[in-house]
Amino acid sequence: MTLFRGEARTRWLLRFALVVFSFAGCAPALSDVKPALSETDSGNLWFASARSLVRSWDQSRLVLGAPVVISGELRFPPGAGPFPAVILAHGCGGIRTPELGWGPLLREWGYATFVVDSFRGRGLTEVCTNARTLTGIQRIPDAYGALRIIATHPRIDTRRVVLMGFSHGGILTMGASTVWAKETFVPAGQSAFRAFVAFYPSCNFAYPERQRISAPVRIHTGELDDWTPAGPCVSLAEILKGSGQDATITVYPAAHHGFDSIGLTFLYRPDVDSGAACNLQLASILGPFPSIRETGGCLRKGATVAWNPDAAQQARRNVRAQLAELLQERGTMTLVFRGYDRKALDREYNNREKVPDAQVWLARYARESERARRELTARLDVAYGSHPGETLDVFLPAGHGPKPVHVFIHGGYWHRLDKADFSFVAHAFLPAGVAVVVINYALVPTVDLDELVRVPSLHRLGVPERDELRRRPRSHHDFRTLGGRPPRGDAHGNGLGGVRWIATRPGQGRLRDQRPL
Amino acid sequence: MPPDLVKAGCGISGLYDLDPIRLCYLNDVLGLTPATARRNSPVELRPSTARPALIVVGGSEGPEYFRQSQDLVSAWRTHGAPCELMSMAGHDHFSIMGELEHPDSQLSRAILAQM
Repeated sequence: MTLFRGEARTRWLLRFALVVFSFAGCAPALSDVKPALSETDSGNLWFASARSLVRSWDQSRLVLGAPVVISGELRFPPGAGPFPAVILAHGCGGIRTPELGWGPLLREWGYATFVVDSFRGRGLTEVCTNARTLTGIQRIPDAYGALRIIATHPRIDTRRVVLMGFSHGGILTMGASTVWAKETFVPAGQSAFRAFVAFYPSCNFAYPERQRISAPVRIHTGELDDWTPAGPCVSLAEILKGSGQDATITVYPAAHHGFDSIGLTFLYRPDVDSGAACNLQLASILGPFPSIRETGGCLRKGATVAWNPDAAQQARRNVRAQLAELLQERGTMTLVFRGYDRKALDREYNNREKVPDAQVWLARYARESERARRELTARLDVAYGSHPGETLDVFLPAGHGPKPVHVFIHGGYWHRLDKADFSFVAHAFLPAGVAVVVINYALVPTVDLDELVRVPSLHRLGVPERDELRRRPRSHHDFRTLGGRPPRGDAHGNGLGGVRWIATRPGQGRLRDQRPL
Repeated sequence: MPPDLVKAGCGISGLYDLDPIRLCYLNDVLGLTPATARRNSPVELRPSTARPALIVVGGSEGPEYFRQSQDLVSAWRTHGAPCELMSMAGHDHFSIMGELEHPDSQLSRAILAQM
C-alpha cells in the first residue's frame, strides 16, 4: 500500500505511458514466456502467474482463471550460488521504497532477490485509491508463479525461498502462507515457500483458510498503523500460535504504516481506500465478499504513512535474524514426514514426553475413575464379544425409562490404557440424564490394527453384522435392558478412539467396506 | 441396526492420518505398513453418513495434532459431512480430558449439545 507522492498529472501520464507500453506488445504473450530459466538469466523477466484468481460473473467471489503474464526483477549476490532467495511483493502503489530498500540489504546478506511487479503486466499503476481493482488475495498466484519460475534457475536454492510482502503485498503474503494456497498453487512434488514475512498486512478480513499455514510466518507492523491496524494481526498470530503453528508478530512502538519507507516523511493520504475499521468474517478466502451495504460502512478513505528510522532499523535486524534461523541449511538431516526428521516426528507424537505433567494427569484419571465407579450406578465388565478384551462398563443416570446413550472409546495409541482409566467421563453426562458406556477393545499386540478397528465395532453393540454372526453380538435391545435408548446414541472417543469411532460410524459397514479416496 | 442409530460423533485429540504414526517410534509396537496405515486412516476414507462430527484438539498439542484434526475436517467437509473443528486454547493432550470431569465444562456442553 506504499505510496507515491507524485502529482496526479504525472500519475495519469505514467498510466497512459504504461497502457501504451503494454499495448505496444511489450508484455509477451503467455505462449512466449520462458518456461524455465538458465544460468545466465537475471534482471527483468516476464513469467506466467500460477493460474489467476478472477472475479465471478456477479463479482461476489473469486474463481480460478488462466495464468497472466507478469514481470519481476531477479538479482543475485556476488558468488556462484546456489543462493537462498527472497521474493518481494509490493504494496498498492506498485514497486516503491520498501522493496527497493530491502533488495540491496538482502543481497548483502547473501540472498537472491526477485521483486515481482503485479501491475505492469496487467496495465495497472496503483490500486490504493480503488481497492477493488485488484486485491491482495488475487495476487497470490503471482507469488506462486514467481516461485515456480525462479525455482528453475540453477543458481537458486529451491528449498530456501521466502516470500516477503508489504501492505497490499503483505495481504498477498498472508494469503500465500495458507495451506490452501500451497495446495492450490504448488504442483505435487514441487518446492513450496520456506517462510513468509509480512510487513504491515491487513488482517481485518478473516477467512477460515488463514488459520492453517504451510510454513513459518513472521509479521512486522506498527503500533500506530491506522491503515492496516496491528490489533487484528496480533489476534491472528495468537490463534496460529495457540494451535501450535509457527507464527510471530513484532509490533514496532510509535510506528506508522510504511515505517520502513526510507525518507518518506509523515503523510496523510485522504484518497486511499482503507478497511481499518472493518472486522469481517468471510466464508472462505474466495468469498463470497460482502456488498458495500453488508460491510456496515467500515470501508473508508484515508490513512497515514510515515518512515520511522528506529523501527526500520530494528526491523532490519529482526528480519536478518529471522531469515538466518528459518533458512538454515538442513544439512544431512533426512526428512521422513512433511518437514520432520525422525527425531522431530517422534517428539511430535510422544505426548508423555511432551506434556510435563502427563503422569499427574494419568494418575488423576485413574483416581477420578475409581471414584466414579464407587459413587455412580454402574454395570461393569459386560462382555460384548468373544475376545476377553471386549467388555464395557455402563453408567446409568437416575430415573426410569429409556435414556440417550453416550459411548466413550478411550485412547492410548492402540496399545495402552483401559476403560477403567476413563470411567470419570460419566460425570460429564449422567447429570444431563444421559447413560454412558465406556468400552474396552482388544489392544495391539493381541490384535493388529485392522482387526482392532474392525471387530469390536459399535455395530456389535447394536445388531449382528452379516458375516459376524458367529460372534453373537449383543442386540441394541440390550441397551434397553440396561436402561439405554440407542436411537439417540452419541459416539465419542479420544486419541485412537477418534479413529475407532469414525471407523465404526453407522451405515458404512466395517472399515474395509469404505472406499479409499 | 437402524442406520441412524448413532446421532453424532466427537473425536478428541484424534489421529486420523496414520502415515506419520507408521514413520515414528510408535510403529515399533504397531507394525503398520503403508497399506494398513492408509486403510485405517479416516482422512483417506469417505464418511457414508452425514451425521454431525465435532473434532476437538487442544491448542497446545503441537502442529501435527492440530493438522490431524484440521485435515480430517477439511477432507470430510469435502464429502459433505458436517464437521466442525474446535481448538481448545491452553489444553494439552492430557488436560483436555479433564474437561469431561464436569458436566458444565466447554467440551461437555458441546458434546451434550450434539445429542
